[in-house]
Amino acid sequence: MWLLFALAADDGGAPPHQREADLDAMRRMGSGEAAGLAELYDRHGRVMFSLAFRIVRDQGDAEEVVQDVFAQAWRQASRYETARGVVVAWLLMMTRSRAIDRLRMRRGRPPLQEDDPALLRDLSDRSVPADVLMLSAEQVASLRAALDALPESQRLAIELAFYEGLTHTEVAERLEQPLGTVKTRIRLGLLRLRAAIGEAGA
Amino acid sequence: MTTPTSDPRQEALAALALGTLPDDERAAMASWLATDAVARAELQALRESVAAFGLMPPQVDPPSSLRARVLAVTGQPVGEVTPFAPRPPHAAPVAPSRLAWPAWWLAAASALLAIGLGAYAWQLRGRVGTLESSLNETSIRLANADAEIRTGRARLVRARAETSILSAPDLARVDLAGQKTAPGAIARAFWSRAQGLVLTGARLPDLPRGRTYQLWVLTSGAPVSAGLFTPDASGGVSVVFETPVSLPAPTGMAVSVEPDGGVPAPTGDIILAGTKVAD
Repeated sequence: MWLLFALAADDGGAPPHQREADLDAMRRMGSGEAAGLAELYDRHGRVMFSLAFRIVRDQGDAEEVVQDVFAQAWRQASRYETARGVVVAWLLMMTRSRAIDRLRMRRGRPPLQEDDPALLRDLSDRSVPADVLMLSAEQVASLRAALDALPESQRLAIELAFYEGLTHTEVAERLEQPLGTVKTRIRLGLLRLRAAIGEAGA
Repeated sequence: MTTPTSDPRQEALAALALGTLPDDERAAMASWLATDAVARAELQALRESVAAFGLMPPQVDPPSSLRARVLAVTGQPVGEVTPFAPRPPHAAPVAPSRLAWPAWWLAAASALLAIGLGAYAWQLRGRVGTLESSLNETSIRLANADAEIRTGRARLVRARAETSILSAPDLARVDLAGQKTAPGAIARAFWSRAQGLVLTGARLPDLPRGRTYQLWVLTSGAPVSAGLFTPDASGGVSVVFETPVSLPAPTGMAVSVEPDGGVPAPTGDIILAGTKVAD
Protein backbone atom coordinates (compact mmCIF):
# COMPACT_ATOMS: atom_id res chain seq x y z
CA MET A 1 0.00 0.00 0.00
CA TRP A 2 1.48 3.24 -1.10
CA LEU A 3 0.81 5.17 2.08
CA LEU A 4 2.19 2.49 4.27
CA PHE A 5 5.37 2.17 2.34
CA ALA A 6 5.88 5.90 2.29
CA LEU A 7 5.50 6.16 6.04
CA ALA A 8 7.59 3.11 6.76
CA ALA A 9 10.36 4.60 4.69
CA ASP A 10 10.26 7.77 6.80
CA ASP A 11 10.84 5.78 9.91
CA GLY A 12 14.54 5.75 9.27
CA GLY A 13 16.93 2.97 8.37
CA ALA A 14 15.71 -0.57 7.63
CA PRO A 15 12.16 -0.30 9.04
CA PRO A 16 10.59 -3.54 10.15
CA HIS A 17 8.11 -4.92 7.66
CA GLN A 18 4.87 -2.95 7.83
CA ARG A 19 2.91 -5.96 8.87
CA GLU A 20 5.26 -6.72 11.74
CA ALA A 21 5.26 -3.09 12.85
CA ASP A 22 1.46 -3.07 13.01
CA LEU A 23 1.36 -6.32 14.94
CA ASP A 24 3.94 -4.93 17.32
CA ALA A 25 1.80 -1.79 17.80
CA MET A 26 -1.20 -4.02 18.56
CA ARG A 27 0.83 -5.96 21.11
CA ARG A 28 1.88 -2.75 22.81
CA MET A 29 -1.73 -1.52 22.81
CA GLY A 30 -2.66 -4.83 24.41
CA SER A 31 -0.34 -4.05 27.30
CA GLY A 32 -1.84 -0.59 27.68
CA GLU A 33 0.69 1.50 25.76
CA ALA A 34 -1.01 4.49 24.17
CA ALA A 35 1.96 4.94 21.85
CA GLY A 36 0.92 1.78 20.00
CA LEU A 37 -2.45 3.33 19.19
CA ALA A 38 -0.84 6.61 18.17
CA GLU A 39 1.39 4.69 15.79
CA LEU A 40 -1.50 2.85 14.18
CA TYR A 41 -3.44 6.12 13.85
CA ASP A 42 -0.51 7.89 12.24
CA ARG A 43 -0.05 5.08 9.74
CA HIS A 44 -3.64 4.25 8.87
CA GLY A 45 -5.90 7.06 10.13
CA ARG A 46 -5.95 8.81 6.76
CA VAL A 47 -6.89 5.83 4.62
CA MET A 48 -9.56 4.85 7.18
CA PHE A 49 -10.96 8.37 7.29
CA SER A 50 -11.04 8.49 3.48
CA LEU A 51 -12.99 5.23 3.31
CA ALA A 52 -15.42 6.31 6.05
CA PHE A 53 -15.91 9.69 4.36
CA ARG A 54 -16.57 8.05 0.98
CA ILE A 55 -19.30 5.94 2.59
CA VAL A 56 -21.02 8.39 4.96
CA ARG A 57 -20.33 11.59 2.97
CA ASP A 58 -20.16 13.64 6.14
CA GLN A 59 -16.98 14.78 7.84
CA GLY A 60 -18.36 14.61 11.40
CA ASP A 61 -19.77 11.13 10.90
CA ALA A 62 -16.56 9.94 9.25
CA GLU A 63 -14.55 11.21 12.23
CA GLU A 64 -16.82 9.37 14.65
CA VAL A 65 -16.48 6.16 12.64
CA VAL A 66 -12.68 6.38 12.79
CA GLN A 67 -12.84 7.12 16.52
CA ASP A 68 -15.13 4.12 17.12
CA VAL A 69 -12.91 1.76 15.15
CA PHE A 70 -9.75 2.78 16.99
CA ALA A 71 -11.59 2.53 20.32
CA GLN A 72 -12.59 -1.02 19.41
CA ALA A 73 -9.04 -1.83 18.31
CA TRP A 74 -7.74 -0.48 21.63
CA ARG A 75 -10.19 -2.62 23.62
CA GLN A 76 -9.58 -5.77 21.60
CA ALA A 77 -5.83 -5.41 21.12
CA SER A 78 -4.91 -7.90 23.83
CA ARG A 79 -7.14 -10.52 22.22
CA TYR A 80 -6.04 -9.85 18.64
CA GLU A 81 -4.86 -13.03 16.99
CA THR A 82 -2.15 -12.78 14.41
CA ALA A 83 -4.05 -15.40 12.40
CA ARG A 84 -6.60 -12.70 11.63
CA GLY A 85 -4.13 -11.29 9.18
CA VAL A 86 -2.96 -7.85 8.30
CA VAL A 87 -3.99 -5.28 10.91
CA VAL A 88 -4.78 -2.57 8.37
CA ALA A 89 -7.15 -4.91 6.52
CA TRP A 90 -8.93 -5.57 9.81
CA LEU A 91 -9.11 -1.82 10.54
CA LEU A 92 -10.46 -1.06 7.06
CA MET A 93 -13.10 -3.78 7.24
CA MET A 94 -14.28 -2.46 10.62
CA THR A 95 -14.31 1.05 9.16
CA ARG A 96 -16.44 -0.11 6.25
CA SER A 97 -18.96 -1.98 8.37
CA ARG A 98 -19.33 0.80 10.97
CA ALA A 99 -19.69 3.45 8.27
CA ILE A 100 -22.34 1.37 6.50
CA ASP A 101 -24.19 0.89 9.81
CA ARG A 102 -24.20 4.65 10.27
CA LEU A 103 -25.49 5.13 6.73
CA ARG A 104 -28.30 2.66 7.35
CA MET A 105 -29.18 4.25 10.69
CA ARG A 106 -29.43 7.64 8.98
CA ARG A 107 -31.84 6.15 6.47
CA GLY A 108 -33.96 4.67 9.24
CA ARG A 109 -32.83 1.12 8.53
CA PRO A 110 -31.50 -1.24 11.17
CA PRO A 111 -27.75 -1.79 11.25
CA LEU A 112 -26.51 -4.76 9.27
CA GLN A 113 -25.45 -6.77 12.29
CA GLU A 114 -28.98 -6.71 13.68
CA ASP A 115 -30.48 -7.86 10.42
CA ASP A 116 -27.86 -10.50 9.88
CA PRO A 117 -25.64 -11.01 12.89
CA ALA A 118 -23.09 -12.94 10.93
CA LEU A 119 -22.62 -10.56 8.02
CA LEU A 120 -20.15 -7.73 7.95
CA ARG A 121 -18.93 -8.00 11.51
CA ASP A 122 -18.17 -11.65 11.01
CA LEU A 123 -16.39 -10.84 7.81
CA SER A 124 -14.30 -8.15 9.44
CA ASP A 125 -13.13 -10.50 12.14
CA ARG A 126 -12.42 -13.72 10.40
CA SER A 127 -12.28 -13.40 6.68
CA VAL A 128 -9.70 -10.77 5.95
CA PRO A 129 -7.23 -12.23 3.52
CA ALA A 130 -3.76 -12.29 4.92
CA ASP A 131 -1.65 -10.43 2.43
CA VAL A 132 -3.94 -8.43 0.27
CA LEU A 133 -3.22 -4.99 1.67
CA MET A 134 0.49 -5.34 1.23
CA LEU A 135 0.07 -3.87 -2.22
CA SER A 136 2.72 -1.96 -4.08
CA ALA A 137 2.01 1.45 -5.57
CA GLU A 138 1.94 -0.21 -9.01
CA GLN A 139 -0.68 -2.67 -7.88
CA VAL A 140 -2.88 0.08 -6.45
CA ALA A 141 -2.51 2.11 -9.65
CA SER A 142 -3.33 -0.94 -11.72
CA LEU A 143 -6.39 -1.63 -9.57
CA ARG A 144 -7.64 1.92 -10.03
CA ALA A 145 -7.10 1.69 -13.78
CA ALA A 146 -8.95 -1.63 -13.89
CA LEU A 147 -11.81 -0.11 -11.89
CA ASP A 148 -12.01 2.84 -14.28
CA ALA A 149 -11.97 0.45 -17.23
CA LEU A 150 -15.00 -1.51 -16.01
CA PRO A 151 -18.28 -0.74 -17.78
CA GLU A 152 -20.26 1.89 -15.83
CA SER A 153 -23.04 -0.46 -14.86
CA GLN A 154 -20.59 -3.05 -13.57
CA ARG A 155 -18.62 -0.54 -11.51
CA LEU A 156 -21.78 1.02 -10.07
CA ALA A 157 -23.07 -2.39 -9.01
CA ILE A 158 -19.84 -3.20 -7.15
CA GLU A 159 -19.71 0.25 -5.57
CA LEU A 160 -23.27 -0.01 -4.26
CA ALA A 161 -22.49 -3.39 -2.71
CA PHE A 162 -19.17 -2.27 -1.25
CA TYR A 163 -19.91 1.29 -0.12
CA GLU A 164 -23.54 0.85 0.92
CA GLY A 165 -23.55 -2.83 1.89
CA LEU A 166 -26.52 -3.51 -0.40
CA THR A 167 -27.45 -7.11 -1.14
CA HIS A 168 -27.51 -8.24 -4.77
CA THR A 169 -31.30 -7.86 -4.74
CA GLU A 170 -31.08 -4.32 -3.40
CA VAL A 171 -28.43 -3.40 -5.97
CA ALA A 172 -30.67 -4.77 -8.72
CA GLU A 173 -33.58 -2.69 -7.46
CA ARG A 174 -31.48 0.45 -7.12
CA LEU A 175 -30.01 0.14 -10.61
CA GLU A 176 -33.31 -1.13 -11.96
CA GLN A 177 -31.57 -4.06 -13.57
CA PRO A 178 -32.46 -7.76 -13.49
CA LEU A 179 -31.06 -9.61 -10.49
CA GLY A 180 -29.25 -12.23 -12.57
CA THR A 181 -27.45 -9.56 -14.56
CA VAL A 182 -26.38 -7.74 -11.40
CA LYS A 183 -25.06 -10.92 -9.79
CA THR A 184 -22.98 -11.76 -12.84
CA ARG A 185 -21.66 -8.22 -13.18
CA ILE A 186 -20.53 -8.02 -9.56
CA ARG A 187 -18.80 -11.38 -9.65
CA LEU A 188 -17.04 -10.84 -12.95
CA GLY A 189 -16.11 -7.26 -12.03
CA LEU A 190 -14.50 -8.32 -8.76
CA LEU A 191 -12.62 -11.12 -10.48
CA ARG A 192 -11.37 -8.68 -13.10
CA LEU A 193 -10.09 -6.36 -10.37
CA ARG A 194 -8.35 -9.26 -8.65
CA ALA A 195 -6.69 -10.14 -11.92
CA ALA A 196 -5.45 -6.56 -12.21
CA ILE A 197 -3.72 -6.78 -8.81
CA GLY A 198 -2.10 -10.03 -9.89
CA GLU A 199 -0.89 -8.67 -13.21
CA ALA A 200 0.74 -5.63 -11.62
CA GLY A 201 2.34 -7.74 -8.93
CA ALA A 202 3.81 -10.23 -11.36
CA MET B 1 -25.07 -9.10 -20.65
CA THR B 2 -26.38 -11.95 -18.56
CA THR B 3 -23.97 -14.83 -18.68
CA PRO B 4 -25.75 -17.96 -17.60
CA THR B 5 -23.75 -19.98 -15.10
CA SER B 6 -24.40 -23.58 -14.31
CA ASP B 7 -24.44 -23.09 -10.54
CA PRO B 8 -26.24 -20.15 -8.89
CA ARG B 9 -24.03 -20.59 -5.82
CA GLN B 10 -21.15 -19.30 -7.89
CA GLU B 11 -22.88 -15.93 -8.20
CA ALA B 12 -23.52 -15.90 -4.44
CA LEU B 13 -19.76 -16.18 -3.77
CA ALA B 14 -19.35 -12.48 -4.53
CA ALA B 15 -22.07 -11.59 -2.00
CA LEU B 16 -20.32 -13.77 0.57
CA ALA B 17 -17.03 -11.97 -0.07
CA LEU B 18 -18.77 -8.58 0.17
CA GLY B 19 -20.45 -9.59 3.44
CA THR B 20 -23.90 -9.02 1.95
CA LEU B 21 -25.13 -12.59 1.53
CA PRO B 22 -28.45 -13.05 3.36
CA ASP B 23 -28.15 -15.28 6.41
CA ASP B 24 -30.43 -18.01 5.14
CA GLU B 25 -28.13 -18.64 2.18
CA ARG B 26 -24.96 -18.97 4.20
CA ALA B 27 -25.36 -22.52 5.46
CA ALA B 28 -25.70 -23.95 1.96
CA MET B 29 -22.62 -22.01 0.88
CA ALA B 30 -20.56 -23.26 3.83
CA SER B 31 -21.24 -26.90 3.07
CA TRP B 32 -20.48 -26.37 -0.62
CA LEU B 33 -17.23 -24.55 0.16
CA ALA B 34 -16.16 -27.31 2.52
CA THR B 35 -16.08 -29.78 -0.35
CA ASP B 36 -15.20 -27.69 -3.40
CA ALA B 37 -11.63 -26.43 -3.66
CA VAL B 38 -12.32 -24.46 -6.86
CA ALA B 39 -15.08 -22.54 -5.12
CA ARG B 40 -12.80 -21.83 -2.16
CA ALA B 41 -10.12 -20.47 -4.47
CA GLU B 42 -12.62 -18.18 -6.18
CA LEU B 43 -13.94 -16.96 -2.83
CA GLN B 44 -10.39 -16.14 -1.76
CA ALA B 45 -9.79 -14.14 -4.96
CA LEU B 46 -13.08 -12.28 -4.48
CA ARG B 47 -12.22 -11.48 -0.84
CA GLU B 48 -8.86 -10.09 -1.85
CA SER B 49 -10.55 -7.91 -4.40
CA VAL B 50 -13.08 -6.67 -1.81
CA ALA B 51 -10.36 -5.93 0.77
CA ALA B 52 -8.32 -3.97 -1.77
CA PHE B 53 -11.43 -1.98 -2.67
CA GLY B 54 -11.05 -0.19 0.67
CA LEU B 55 -8.08 1.65 -0.84
CA MET B 56 -10.01 3.01 -3.81
CA PRO B 57 -11.70 6.14 -2.36
CA PRO B 58 -10.03 9.51 -3.02
CA GLN B 59 -7.70 10.19 -0.09
CA VAL B 60 -8.83 12.95 2.28
CA ASP B 61 -6.87 14.18 5.31
CA PRO B 62 -8.75 13.94 8.60
CA PRO B 63 -8.79 17.12 10.68
CA SER B 64 -5.73 17.35 12.89
CA SER B 65 -7.94 17.39 16.03
CA LEU B 66 -9.08 13.82 15.34
CA ARG B 67 -5.80 12.31 16.54
CA ALA B 68 -6.27 13.62 20.08
CA ARG B 69 -9.87 12.41 20.18
CA VAL B 70 -8.83 8.94 18.99
CA LEU B 71 -6.07 8.76 21.59
CA ALA B 72 -8.42 9.91 24.39
CA VAL B 73 -9.71 6.32 24.63
CA THR B 74 -6.41 5.31 26.21
CA GLY B 75 -7.04 7.61 29.17
CA GLN B 76 -3.43 8.71 28.95
CA PRO B 77 -2.48 12.32 28.34
CA VAL B 78 -1.90 12.85 24.64
CA GLY B 79 1.25 14.77 25.34
CA GLU B 80 2.94 11.62 26.59
CA VAL B 81 2.34 9.79 23.37
CA THR B 82 5.32 10.24 21.18
CA PRO B 83 5.63 7.21 18.94
CA PHE B 84 8.18 8.75 16.64
CA ALA B 85 10.02 10.89 19.19
CA PRO B 86 13.20 12.21 17.69
CA ARG B 87 16.35 10.93 19.32
CA PRO B 88 17.77 13.37 21.89
CA PRO B 89 20.55 15.28 20.23
CA HIS B 90 24.02 14.34 21.28
CA ALA B 91 25.23 17.43 23.11
CA ALA B 92 28.86 17.90 22.34
CA PRO B 93 30.76 18.73 25.50
CA VAL B 94 32.18 22.18 25.29
CA ALA B 95 35.42 23.01 27.02
CA PRO B 96 34.82 25.94 29.41
CA SER B 97 38.14 27.52 28.48
CA ARG B 98 36.87 28.05 24.91
CA LEU B 99 33.96 30.21 26.17
CA ALA B 100 35.93 33.36 25.74
CA TRP B 101 34.24 36.43 24.37
CA PRO B 102 34.30 35.53 20.62
CA ALA B 103 32.51 32.33 21.60
CA TRP B 104 30.02 34.33 23.66
CA TRP B 105 29.42 36.60 20.71
CA LEU B 106 28.93 33.59 18.50
CA ALA B 107 26.41 32.12 20.97
CA ALA B 108 24.42 35.37 21.04
CA ALA B 109 24.40 35.57 17.26
CA SER B 110 23.24 31.93 17.07
CA ALA B 111 20.45 32.68 19.54
CA LEU B 112 19.30 35.66 17.48
CA LEU B 113 19.46 33.58 14.33
CA ALA B 114 17.49 30.82 16.05
CA ILE B 115 14.79 33.32 17.09
CA GLY B 116 14.65 34.65 13.54
CA LEU B 117 14.46 31.16 12.07
CA GLY B 118 11.82 30.19 14.66
CA ALA B 119 9.64 33.12 13.66
CA TYR B 120 10.09 32.27 10.01
CA ALA B 121 9.24 28.62 10.69
CA TRP B 122 6.15 29.73 12.61
CA GLN B 123 5.07 31.86 9.66
CA LEU B 124 5.67 28.95 7.26
CA ARG B 125 3.71 26.63 9.52
CA GLY B 126 0.79 29.02 9.41
CA ARG B 127 0.94 29.06 5.63
CA VAL B 128 1.19 25.28 5.44
CA GLY B 129 -1.81 25.02 7.79
CA THR B 130 -3.86 27.31 5.56
CA LEU B 131 -2.82 25.37 2.48
CA GLU B 132 -3.63 22.07 4.17
CA SER B 133 -7.09 23.18 5.18
CA SER B 134 -7.88 24.51 1.71
CA LEU B 135 -6.55 21.27 0.22
CA ASN B 136 -8.84 19.34 2.53
CA GLU B 137 -11.85 21.42 1.55
CA THR B 138 -10.97 20.81 -2.09
CA SER B 139 -10.65 17.06 -1.48
CA ILE B 140 -14.05 16.99 0.17
CA ARG B 141 -15.57 18.97 -2.68
CA LEU B 142 -13.94 16.58 -5.16
CA ALA B 143 -15.27 13.55 -3.31
CA ASN B 144 -18.78 15.04 -3.35
CA ALA B 145 -18.48 15.90 -7.03
CA ASP B 146 -17.32 12.35 -7.64
CA ALA B 147 -20.50 11.03 -5.99
CA GLU B 148 -22.67 13.36 -8.07
CA ILE B 149 -20.93 12.26 -11.25
CA ARG B 150 -21.58 8.61 -10.42
CA THR B 151 -25.26 9.28 -9.75
CA GLY B 152 -25.42 11.17 -13.05
CA ARG B 153 -23.73 8.29 -14.84
CA ALA B 154 -26.23 5.82 -13.39
CA ARG B 155 -29.03 7.95 -14.79
CA LEU B 156 -27.27 8.20 -18.13
CA VAL B 157 -26.80 4.43 -18.37
CA ARG B 158 -30.51 3.98 -17.76
CA ALA B 159 -31.52 6.74 -20.18
CA ARG B 160 -29.35 5.18 -22.90
CA ALA B 161 -30.94 1.79 -22.33
CA GLU B 162 -34.43 3.33 -22.48
CA THR B 163 -33.61 5.17 -25.70
CA SER B 164 -32.24 2.08 -27.38
CA ILE B 165 -35.39 0.12 -26.48
CA LEU B 166 -37.83 2.85 -27.49
CA SER B 167 -36.16 3.35 -30.87
CA ALA B 168 -35.91 -0.38 -31.66
CA PRO B 169 -37.58 -1.42 -34.94
CA ASP B 170 -39.17 -4.50 -33.32
CA LEU B 171 -40.86 -2.53 -30.55
CA ALA B 172 -43.93 -4.09 -28.92
CA ARG B 173 -46.18 -2.24 -26.47
CA VAL B 174 -48.25 -3.54 -23.55
CA ASP B 175 -50.62 -1.31 -21.56
CA LEU B 176 -51.16 -2.60 -18.05
CA ALA B 177 -54.23 -1.70 -15.99
CA GLY B 178 -54.63 -1.82 -12.21
CA GLN B 179 -56.42 -4.94 -10.95
CA LYS B 180 -58.87 -5.14 -8.06
CA THR B 181 -56.28 -4.80 -5.26
CA ALA B 182 -54.94 -1.58 -6.82
CA PRO B 183 -57.50 -0.23 -9.28
CA GLY B 184 -55.74 3.15 -9.55
CA ALA B 185 -52.39 1.70 -10.66
CA ILE B 186 -51.36 2.05 -14.29
CA ALA B 187 -48.29 1.13 -16.36
CA ARG B 188 -47.01 0.77 -19.89
CA ALA B 189 -44.23 -1.52 -21.08
CA PHE B 190 -42.18 -1.52 -24.28
CA TRP B 191 -40.23 -4.57 -25.35
CA SER B 192 -37.70 -5.23 -28.05
CA ARG B 193 -36.11 -8.65 -28.51
CA ALA B 194 -32.74 -7.11 -29.20
CA GLN B 195 -32.78 -4.23 -26.71
CA GLY B 196 -34.79 -5.34 -23.66
CA LEU B 197 -37.79 -4.07 -21.78
CA VAL B 198 -38.73 -0.70 -20.30
CA LEU B 199 -41.61 -0.33 -17.85
CA THR B 200 -43.07 2.94 -16.62
CA GLY B 201 -45.88 3.06 -14.11
CA ALA B 202 -47.69 5.25 -11.60
CA ARG B 203 -49.90 5.04 -8.52
CA LEU B 204 -48.46 1.73 -7.34
CA PRO B 205 -49.30 1.05 -3.67
CA ASP B 206 -46.53 0.96 -1.04
CA LEU B 207 -45.38 -2.54 -0.17
CA PRO B 208 -44.89 -3.98 3.31
CA ARG B 209 -41.33 -4.87 4.37
CA GLY B 210 -40.13 -8.11 2.84
CA ARG B 211 -42.24 -7.76 -0.33
CA THR B 212 -41.31 -6.66 -3.82
CA TYR B 213 -42.98 -6.14 -7.17
CA GLN B 214 -42.13 -8.67 -9.88
CA LEU B 215 -42.82 -8.15 -13.57
CA TRP B 216 -43.91 -11.17 -15.62
CA VAL B 217 -43.83 -11.57 -19.37
CA LEU B 218 -46.82 -13.64 -20.45
CA THR B 219 -46.04 -15.92 -23.37
CA SER B 220 -47.74 -18.86 -25.02
CA GLY B 221 -46.07 -20.99 -22.30
CA ALA B 222 -45.47 -20.26 -18.62
CA PRO B 223 -44.98 -16.64 -17.46
CA VAL B 224 -41.32 -15.57 -17.51
CA SER B 225 -39.92 -13.25 -14.83
CA ALA B 226 -38.48 -10.04 -16.26
CA GLY B 227 -37.22 -8.83 -12.88
CA LEU B 228 -38.01 -7.07 -9.62
CA PHE B 229 -38.61 -3.40 -8.95
CA THR B 230 -39.53 -0.98 -6.20
CA PRO B 231 -41.56 2.16 -6.93
CA ASP B 232 -40.44 5.54 -5.61
CA ALA B 233 -42.16 7.27 -2.68
CA SER B 234 -44.89 8.66 -4.96
CA GLY B 235 -45.69 5.18 -6.36
CA GLY B 236 -44.02 5.88 -9.70
CA VAL B 237 -41.59 3.60 -11.50
CA SER B 238 -39.41 3.71 -14.59
CA VAL B 239 -37.23 0.68 -14.97
CA VAL B 240 -35.20 -1.08 -17.65
CA PHE B 241 -34.86 -4.87 -17.76
CA GLU B 242 -32.44 -6.83 -19.90
CA THR B 243 -34.47 -9.72 -21.26
CA PRO B 244 -32.92 -12.79 -22.88
CA VAL B 245 -32.96 -12.82 -26.68
CA SER B 246 -34.52 -16.28 -26.46
CA LEU B 247 -37.61 -14.88 -24.69
CA PRO B 248 -40.76 -15.92 -26.59
CA ALA B 249 -42.72 -12.97 -28.00
CA PRO B 250 -44.90 -11.58 -25.20
CA THR B 251 -48.66 -11.89 -25.45
CA GLY B 252 -49.02 -9.68 -22.39
CA MET B 253 -47.46 -8.70 -19.09
CA ALA B 254 -48.41 -8.70 -15.42
CA VAL B 255 -47.02 -7.38 -12.15
CA SER B 256 -47.44 -9.34 -8.92
CA VAL B 257 -46.44 -8.81 -5.28
CA GLU B 258 -43.86 -11.39 -4.20
CA PRO B 259 -41.45 -12.07 -1.32
CA ASP B 260 -38.11 -10.21 -1.44
CA GLY B 261 -35.74 -11.77 -3.94
CA GLY B 262 -38.59 -12.82 -6.23
CA VAL B 263 -40.04 -16.21 -7.10
CA PRO B 264 -39.71 -18.47 -10.17
CA ALA B 265 -43.47 -18.40 -10.89
CA PRO B 266 -46.09 -15.86 -9.76
CA THR B 267 -47.67 -16.62 -6.39
CA GLY B 268 -48.94 -13.29 -5.01
CA ASP B 269 -51.66 -10.77 -5.82
CA ILE B 270 -51.67 -9.51 -9.40
CA ILE B 271 -51.54 -5.71 -9.25
CA LEU B 272 -51.27 -4.85 -12.95
CA ALA B 273 -52.03 -6.81 -16.09
CA GLY B 274 -52.42 -6.14 -19.79
CA THR B 275 -52.13 -7.69 -23.23
CA LYS B 276 -49.96 -6.68 -26.16
CA VAL B 277 -51.33 -3.74 -28.11
CA ALA B 278 -51.89 -4.71 -31.75
CA ASP B 279 -49.23 -3.23 -34.10
